[in-house]
Amino acid sequence: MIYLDNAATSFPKPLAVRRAMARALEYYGGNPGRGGHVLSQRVGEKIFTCRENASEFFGGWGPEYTVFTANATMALNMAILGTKKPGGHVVSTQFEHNSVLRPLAALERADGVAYTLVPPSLEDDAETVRRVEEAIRPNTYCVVCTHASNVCGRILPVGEIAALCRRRGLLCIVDASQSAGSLPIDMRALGIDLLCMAGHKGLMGAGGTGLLLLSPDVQVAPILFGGTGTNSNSVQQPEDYPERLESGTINTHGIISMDAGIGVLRAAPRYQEERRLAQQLYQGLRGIEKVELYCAFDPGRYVGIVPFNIRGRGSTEVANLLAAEGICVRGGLHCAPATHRYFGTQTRGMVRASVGYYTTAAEISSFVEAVRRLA
Amino acid sequence: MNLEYFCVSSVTHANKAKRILQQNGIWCQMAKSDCGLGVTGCSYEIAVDEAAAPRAAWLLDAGGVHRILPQQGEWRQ
Repeated sequence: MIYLDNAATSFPKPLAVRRAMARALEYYGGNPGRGGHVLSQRVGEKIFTCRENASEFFGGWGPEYTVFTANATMALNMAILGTKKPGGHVVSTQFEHNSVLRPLAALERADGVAYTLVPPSLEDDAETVRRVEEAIRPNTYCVVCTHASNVCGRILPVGEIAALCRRRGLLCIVDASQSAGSLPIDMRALGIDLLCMAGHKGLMGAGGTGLLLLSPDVQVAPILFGGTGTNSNSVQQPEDYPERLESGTINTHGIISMDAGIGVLRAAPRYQEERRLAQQLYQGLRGIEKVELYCAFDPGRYVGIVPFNIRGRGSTEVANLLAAEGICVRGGLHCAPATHRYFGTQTRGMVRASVGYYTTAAEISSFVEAVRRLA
Repeated sequence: MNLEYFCVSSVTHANKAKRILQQNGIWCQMAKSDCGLGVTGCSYEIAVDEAAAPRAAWLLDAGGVHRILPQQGEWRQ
C-alpha cells in the first residue's frame, strides 16, 4: 500500500506513539482531575506534562493556556464561537475548511456576525495581507486564517496577518491543522492569539485529538459546559483555563499518543524532507501530459500537498482507481468548498496527494507511475 | 512534620504548583478530595512542611499558580 492521504490523517503512526498509547491504557487508567487516588494523580501529572510539551513545541503561553480538544474542528468552534461579538464582522479567507466556514455561517445566522472571505494570492504574500487589510471594516473584530490550505497546501503569511491584527486591534485565530508537524510554529513569536490544530495529522497522534492554544490576553467563553472536577457545588463554569474549556473527561490515551508524536517531531523533524518529496511528486506529475496541476509547487510556499486532476476523468473516479491499486489519496471537495470555487473545481473536485513523515521517494515514484498508467 | 495546605484552583494549577516546588527542592504532596470537599474545602490542595510554607507561597505566586482562598479552616492564604 502507498499512503498519500496524510492531509486527512497521518499513517502509519510512529512506534513511539503506538507504544505510548498502549502504555497509557495499562498505566494511566485513572481520570485526571477527578480524584485524589494514585491513578488519578498519576495521569493528572502526565497530562500536565503533555500540556507543557505541547506549549513549548508551539511557543505557547504555558500549560494552563493549552487546551485539549477532540479535533481541530472543536478547537476552531471554541475559538470562533467563544470570542464572538454579535453584530460584528470577521475577515477570513477562501482557503478555509468547513470547520471555519460553518461556524462563521452559524454566527451570521444566530448573531448577525458578517464575514468576508478574502482570496489569497498564490504568488504574492504581501498581496494576500493587503487583501485582508482591505476587507477590514469598522466593526471587524477578528481575522481567522488557515496557516496552510488543506486542498492546495499553500502556506499563508500568518505572521504578517497577525502583525496586521495587532496594529488594528483585532483578534487573530489561526488554523494550523495542515501545518502543525509540517512547519515549525512559534505562536508567541508570530503574535497569534488563538492557535487551533488537529492532533492526528502532522502531530501523528491518535484520532480524536486536537489542541487549542491561547494567549493570556484573550477571553474565550466556553461553548461546552459540564463537569471539570472543580467547584462542583457551583453550577457556574470555572474561570480558570484550561478546565474552563475542557468539560467532561478528556481523551487521556489520545493525548498521551499525541504527546509521543510531538516527541518524535522534536527529536527528528522532517519538515524539509516532506516538502522535497512533495516537490518530487509535483515534478513527476508535471511530466504527464493529461495531468492538470493547480499550483506551481514551491517548497518555501507549500506544505506537502499536491492536488491534481486527469483530463477527462472525475477526481473521485481517479481516487477510486488508485485505491484499487492500493494507493490512498482523496478525491472530491475536501470539506473546503470555497477553495474549490477559487480554483474553479467546485463541481469536479481534485485528487489530493499528501506526503507524511514516513513517505519515501520510492513511493512517490511508484505513485507517479500509477497516475501515468491512468492518464 | 506539621503540614500547611495551599488551595489551588484546578488539577492543572495543582500540577504546576507541584512542579515549581519540586524544582526548588521543597517537599510537597498533592491531594484532592472530589467536588470541593477537601481538608480546606477546596478541590485541590498542596501540602508542604510548615517550615517551608513561606518560601513555597512566594514561589507559587511568582510562578503564576492560581491560589484560591480556603473554604473552611484556617489554612495558609
